[in-house]
Amino acid sequence: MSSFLVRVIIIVLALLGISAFLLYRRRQHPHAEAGEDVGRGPDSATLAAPDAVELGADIPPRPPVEKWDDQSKRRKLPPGEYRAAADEPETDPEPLS
Amino acid sequence: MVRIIQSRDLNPVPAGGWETNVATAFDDVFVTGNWFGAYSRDGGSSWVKVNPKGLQPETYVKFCDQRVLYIPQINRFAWVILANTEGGPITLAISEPARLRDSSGRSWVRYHIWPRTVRQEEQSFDFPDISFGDSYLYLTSNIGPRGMIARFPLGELAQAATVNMQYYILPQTWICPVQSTGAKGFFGAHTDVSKMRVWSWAEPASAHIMSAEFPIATIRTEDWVVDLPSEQWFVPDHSPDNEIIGAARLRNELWFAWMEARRVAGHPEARVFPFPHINTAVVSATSLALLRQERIWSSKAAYGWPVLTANDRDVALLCVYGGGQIQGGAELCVGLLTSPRQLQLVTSGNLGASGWHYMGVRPAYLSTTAFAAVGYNRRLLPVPENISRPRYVVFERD
Repeated sequence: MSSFLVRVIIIVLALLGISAFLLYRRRQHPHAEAGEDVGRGPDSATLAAPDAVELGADIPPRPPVEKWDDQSKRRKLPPGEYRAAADEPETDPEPLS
Repeated sequence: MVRIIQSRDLNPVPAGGWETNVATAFDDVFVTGNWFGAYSRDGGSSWVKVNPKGLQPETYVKFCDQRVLYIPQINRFAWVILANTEGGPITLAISEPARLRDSSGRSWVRYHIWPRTVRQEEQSFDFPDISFGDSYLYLTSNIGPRGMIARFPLGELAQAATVNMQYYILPQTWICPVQSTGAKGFFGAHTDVSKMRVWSWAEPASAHIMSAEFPIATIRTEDWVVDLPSEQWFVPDHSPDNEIIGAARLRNELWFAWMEARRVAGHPEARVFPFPHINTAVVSATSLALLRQERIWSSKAAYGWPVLTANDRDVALLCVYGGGQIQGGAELCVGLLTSPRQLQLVTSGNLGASGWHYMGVRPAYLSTTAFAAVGYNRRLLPVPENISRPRYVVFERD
């Protein structure tokens, strides 16, 4: 048997082996996903069938804006280890034509 | 170039026109703002006002934080609205184009999601947002000091039937859902000034949510103020906001966008940007790893309030641009972030500030190329004309 034929057989066997391994892994982990599993399934709730509603066409005056921007509901991002930003070109929009 | 197909103010002008959102289904267009709803049956040429108040249980008198979208695979509009933020429900309303045409935008069915629905009786919802995938409508919200990711089967919503909702309560707040999300729900949030976390939730009902955290370039959180000729602020100094407010999927890329200020707190060696601006993170949908970051900044003016959506070709952006050397206020800007990046102003003469958490951009269904956006104008006209004027824009890549 020529050395060329031996090499071809070795390559074919190697490819078959790799394919079989990948198939085995897929069967072992059918839903393999990137990232960490949160370790539990979702909770569930049932929403009753909806009721129909016919809305009005007149919009009432709104309350003062000050009441809506409650700063206690905002957050300041926690500190973290500094990481420099890459240099990137600036962009300006095309003016209104 | 970005081709502007349409750009006009809503007329009649609904009051309370900030925090805008939009959904289109061919000629049927539904627009929401902080304090209004509006419907057009002729592609945005004419509008009728819709009062969102009736969506809520009768005991709640305030509403805000509205979001709307059109889900083509079930031919339904979905609309969420937050009732009185102290313990009130998120109302999810569903309607279809024919029903809106027959009722001038006023006929809907509604579900209520209460804090007790997700076993958080002592807490309140805040800042809800929605997106949809192949089989689910996704809803995110703050719930007290935590966050919620929930989903609802589209088939059950289309039938106006009992809905089996699945949800997670997570330690993270300000979770932004990814638009055009496909066969998995994706979500993102900053976890500190140099990290973000991404969640993926495959659509089989038994699937667990997965997440990955990774470092990003440190977010600039200091020095927000941009003086405008009108002596208003481009960004309200008292409410700087670095949260992710725009996210969309294009094939294997998840794009996330947020606002940054000029300086990194506590790091004088860090580069100082001339104006507040937009930063993005592009993340692999397969590996949940950061692929790159693309900053949108200018030495002439400030950028802010980026919201995103996507079709099969492009990631589309709506934001505001102004102040600085251009000597103007906050003008609306639309664009396409996919290479080649294209940005286009669609308003002029706005002297006032902008913002208030978010604006709205969506695919302009049933077009496969166009996008619809709604922001608002602040022209600083004499009272009583000094109101926020919602501006409806349709655009595509030229």
